[in-house]
Amino acid sequence: MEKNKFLSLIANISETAKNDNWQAQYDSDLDCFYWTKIKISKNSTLKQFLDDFSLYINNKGAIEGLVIEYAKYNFLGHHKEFEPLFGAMTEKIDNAVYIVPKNKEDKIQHYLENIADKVAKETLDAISSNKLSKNSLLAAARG
Amino acid sequence: MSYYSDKFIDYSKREIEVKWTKDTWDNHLNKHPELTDMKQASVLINETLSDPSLVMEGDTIRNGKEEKIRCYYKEHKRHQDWVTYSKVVVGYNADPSYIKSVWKKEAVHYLIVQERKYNFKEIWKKTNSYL
Repeated sequence: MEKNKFLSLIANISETAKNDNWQAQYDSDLDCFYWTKIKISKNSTLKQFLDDFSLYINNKGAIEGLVIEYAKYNFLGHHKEFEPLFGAMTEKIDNAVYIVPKNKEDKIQHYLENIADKVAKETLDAISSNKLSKNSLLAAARG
Repeated sequence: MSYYSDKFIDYSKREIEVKWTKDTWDNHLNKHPELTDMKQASVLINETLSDPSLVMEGDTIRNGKEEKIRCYYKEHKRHQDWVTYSKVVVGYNADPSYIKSVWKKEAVHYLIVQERKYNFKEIWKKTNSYL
């Protein structure tokens, strides 16, 4: 996959999430935030080229979700603006995993869009500051 | 009754066990596509715990409670800036200690060890480790 094509996929994470019906989940035992397809493809690999975000990228280079480690412990500490999103994940689906109840999904949509924008902006910043080389980005896109 | 259970000995001869419910196993299987079955998960855990490249230890807050954890990292492959590695997160405030998570992932080398940002202590590092 070309660098520009992959960059456009990153820029369109919100759209992909909408089309593929991604779900936000918080695992309180691992302090991980997930925003992913309900069933992540077996040919996906978790890849990290940004400080706070890892992306699930399948073997065609398509993005299937993202993960934030140390989500409340660190990320939320530096990004208080996402507190309502974490606060809305109140529906327990197993021992330690929470999702947003159906009736609150509309209210948190713009927070998820802001996370997608953050991923796109940080990718562009990393490239323009030469922190992330073209080769590294292409390696991520290889899936 | 655990759905996935196994026992391991880490590089320092400490006993560590995994005792996961079906929900925890299913959740891991979905979030970590590289895990295929319990046998393969146990192999990945065992090789990471018994021969880690780096081990970090620190305190975190989970579910409102302080918890001591150890993160075992093992490098599997390095190509240019990218490293393929496994990570096993162990709850360390019980005896035997217990596996909280395992995964294999690829990352740009300088982003791998997140725990350095949170004042975790490096308690083991292989001399040839890039981490």
